[in-house]
Formats: sequence, C-alpha cells, structure tokens
Amino acid sequence: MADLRVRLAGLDLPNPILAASGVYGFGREFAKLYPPSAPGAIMAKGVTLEPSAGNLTPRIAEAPAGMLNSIGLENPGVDAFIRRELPWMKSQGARVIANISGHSVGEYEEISRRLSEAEGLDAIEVNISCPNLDHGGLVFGTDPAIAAEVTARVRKHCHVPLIVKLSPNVTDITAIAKAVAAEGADALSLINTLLGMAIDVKARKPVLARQVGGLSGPAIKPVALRMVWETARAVDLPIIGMGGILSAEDAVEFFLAGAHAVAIGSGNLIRPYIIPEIIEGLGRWLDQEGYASVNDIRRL
Amino acid sequence: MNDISLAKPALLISNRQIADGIYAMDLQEPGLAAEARPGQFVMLAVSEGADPFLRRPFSLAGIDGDGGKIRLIYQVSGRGTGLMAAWEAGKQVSLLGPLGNGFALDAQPGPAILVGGGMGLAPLLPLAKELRERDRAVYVFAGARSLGLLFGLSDFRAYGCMVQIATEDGSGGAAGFATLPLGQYMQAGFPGGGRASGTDGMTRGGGSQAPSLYACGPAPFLRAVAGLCRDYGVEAQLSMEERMGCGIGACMGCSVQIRTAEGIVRKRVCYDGPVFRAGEVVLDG
Repeated sequence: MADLRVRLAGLDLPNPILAASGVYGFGREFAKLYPPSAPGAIMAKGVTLEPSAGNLTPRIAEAPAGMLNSIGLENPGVDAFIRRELPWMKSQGARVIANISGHSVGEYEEISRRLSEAEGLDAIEVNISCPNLDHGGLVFGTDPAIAAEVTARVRKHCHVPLIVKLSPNVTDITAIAKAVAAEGADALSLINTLLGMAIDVKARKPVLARQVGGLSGPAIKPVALRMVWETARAVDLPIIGMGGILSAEDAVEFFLAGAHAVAIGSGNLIRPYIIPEIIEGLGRWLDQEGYASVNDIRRL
Repeated sequence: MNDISLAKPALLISNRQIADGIYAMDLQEPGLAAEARPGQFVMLAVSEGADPFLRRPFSLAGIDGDGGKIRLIYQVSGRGTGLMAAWEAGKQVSLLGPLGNGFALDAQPGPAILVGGGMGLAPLLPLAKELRERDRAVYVFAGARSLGLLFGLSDFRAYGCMVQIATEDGSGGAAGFATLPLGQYMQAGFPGGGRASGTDGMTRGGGSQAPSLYACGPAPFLRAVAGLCRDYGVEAQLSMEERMGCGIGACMGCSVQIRTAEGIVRKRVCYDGPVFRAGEVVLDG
C-alpha cells in the first residue's frame, strides 16, 4: 500500500485528506461514524472572539451540483473552543487545525493570542473571507494589504503552522497569496466558497434569509482547481486544496494542480463516510498507478 | 439517542400516490425500522451523483419494527421529490437514520391531541399508532389546503383515533386551518377527554387527566397551535420543519431560536429536535 503520509509546513499528517472547516463542527457528530483520528487533520468549525448566534434560517439552499450556505459563523467562541472542544478532539487522537474569524484586525490578533496558550493545537487556519467592520464591511480577503496585515498580526502570537484560507471572490488570487506569504504564512488553503444566490420563484424572494451565501460542492471544482494551479505557480508555499472533491480522482486532480493536501467540505453532508472512502480510494489509486508515495505525484 | 445506526441502502418495496401530488414510499431496512421512534426522520439521497446535491430530510410516516419496514410520505414540490416519484420497487435507496429525537411519550394516561397541517400529518401517523397501542385516547385534527391533499385519515381511524378535518378552501370539514376545530374543541372543554369527563368511549385511561398535544406543520400553523395551547394551558410538543445540510448536527444549517433560562439560544432542528416544547420555540415571523 502506497505511503499516504505528508509533511505540510512542518505538520506531519498520516494522510493528505482533511476535513474542511464548517461542515464538520468539532468532529463530535462524525465521531459516531468513524474515529476523529481518521482524517489527515480536522479543520475545526470557525471560531470568533465572542460566541456567535449566526444568521436566521433558511441558511441552506440547493444549487446545481452544489449548495449555498449562510450559516453566519454560529460558534461557541474561542474560549469555549480552547476549554471544551480542543481537549476533546485531542483526546480522540485528532490533529486539530483551529479556524479563526474576526471582524477587525484587532480581533484576529486577540483570538490568536488566546490560542497561543492552547495546549495541543496543531495549526491555525485564518479565514480572511469575513467582512471587516472597521472598513465598512469590505471583506479582508479581497484586499492584499489588509490580508497581509491580518496575517502579520496573527503571526505575532502564532507558534504553530499558520495557514491562510483564501477567498475566490477576487480578481487575482495570486496577489493575495503573495501578500500573505510575505507576512509569514506557512501554508495556504483554497478555495473558500464563491458568493452566490438562489431565488424562490414561487415566493419571489431569495431562498436564504441573508439573501446571498457561499457556493460549494462540485459546481465550484473547476474554479478551485484553476486557482490552486495559479497559486502554486505564484508562491512557494504548500497548498491545501478544496472545492467540490467527491472522489479520490478529484483529490488527485488537486495534487496535480499543485496541492500538497486536500480538504473535503460539502461532500461530508451527502456522503457521511466520504473521508475514509477517499483515503482508501487514494491508496488504491496510487497502488494501481505505481506510486510508492502520494508525494510522488508531480504537479503539472 | 442520536446515534446513527445506518448509512446504507434500503430496498424500495412500493412507491405510490396517496393524495394529490403526495406519495407514500415503503422501504425495507430492518435495523432502522427496529430502532426508529415516532418523530424521528431520515436523510434520503435523491441522486447517486452530485445533482441534485443535498440529501432531503423526511420524517418517518410509518414504522413497522416487526416487518422491518418504514414509510415516508412526501409531496412532489421540486426536482428531488420529482425524481423520487418515478422510483420503482426494487431500487436501492441511500438513507441516513433514524435521526433526531422523537416525540416524548410521557407516561401520563391523559388523552393525546394530534394536530397536523399539510405534510405535518406524516410524523403523526406512527405517533397515533403507538399512542393507541398504549391505550391512550387520541384526537386528531388534520388540516390541508384542500381535501385532495389530506392523507392518512383512514389509518388514523383504523388505529381508533377520533378524527376532525379542516380545509382552507372548505372542500372538506371545517373551512380554515386545523386550529379552527382544535380551538372549538378546547373551548368546549375538551369533550370526551381532557378536563371534562367524557362519555363517548374514547376516554379510556382519559377521564379528567390533562391532555398532551403533539403538532407538526408549517411555522405559521405551529404558531397558531402554540397560541391555543398557551391560552388553554396545554402542554405541547412541536415538530419543526427546516432546511437541513447534514441531518446529524454538524453543519449548523438548521439552527433555530430556542428560549431558555439564559435567554434565546440556537438549537439544531436535526440534532436537538426536531421536536421541541411549544413554550421554548421562537416562532415569530
């Protein structure tokens, strides 16, 4: 059986198939199906400085070969994550990547300062696809200078690998990638959801309570692949690729595009065992194709 | 509770129309049928591929533990249910379940009042069966837009329930929501059960015991039911409908507002529900 281990920004993972942040909570629900130690790592549900109630429902809508969501970051806050969720996840043998969101640069810095004292945390993923309340709600991740500032402020306190999750809702994703790389990001994850909308023609109003939401699923896979490919050529940082992966072959496409690992998001919703299935399928594919290790797949 | 025992194919036994655009699908899956309780639901994959993408939640409309079968009742309302209506016996259907917490069947011997609006009647069918097996007097108030959309009435009657219907267009029973005959029943002092001592034979185990009420339907309907329960001091359990992502509590797609001692918090319909106490659900707007 081919070797699935990967080393990513100093992080040793038993396999390159990660659970993406958002659809997987803190792993407690999927733990009823298979062990939390099975994914290469769990990118935990995004946390904010204070607990957040999130948006009103409907928060979910069907889309062609995908879905829209506008959960609004419902989460128990960073302190509850450190006190309650992280210790449980570590007790289950999971590798844990905290995912953090802020409404100001100061909030990002404070969350990372608190996380710097959290025992056992394996890495931090910074979600820069949030509205910046100091700048009229403009999303951090769409401005290279602000994305760089967030990265620098988190970097000050972050003693574990620092991953920045890039938004696809930009004209040139490589400009953002270069800006956060210059401020000390250890790795990049991409892509976050694409902003989209669904309208109920019977009710003549948007399906989602917040009108717009993030599109995910196979519908966005070609966009995600293109952006991973572009980013891999532009910056010398390891990439965690994500966007509509439903099979081992999908994952291999991302490795060929330049990703070092991949994460599974919406796929978990429709196929609850998809992560162990893809880990197994990837091993089989590598064996069939004569690769000794997943690291032997050469990027395009 | 809340343990997921099944994420594997069930065998479709029959799939037939039972009302206007409303279908009943029977599926063989002994493990699920043995474990399931009234008020629980399943997430059903409408496609083997990725389009349509999301699984659809359906409450269990029939539970036959001995026969190893469950029934789902669904209304064709979009692409997913449109595909389902064409499925034939012999097909393998991917189900995840049983999910969520069912109705709490309190030990009290008083009569049970079941109130369903539209597709909300579906989870009340196995509930009525179980309550009658426990020898509880059961009063069903069933409402729909029109008579052709009402289903399950003969099942309720076969279980030994008293049934009253209402239709919004007046094509059958009272003209209006099911809360119309429900309100009249409450105003009349719960004849046959509840507070008044009845004489119609439906009061076995009832007498002057306080009734318990179970309801399922759209939010405005539940709001009206909850209002009546508040006015007449009746304990009620409401089964909520919400769009869901995962069905197992992970994605937070179905969080609704719930009143607690600490104020309003969010709870997941799929995991903490779908059944909530009437007083705790925020049903505004």
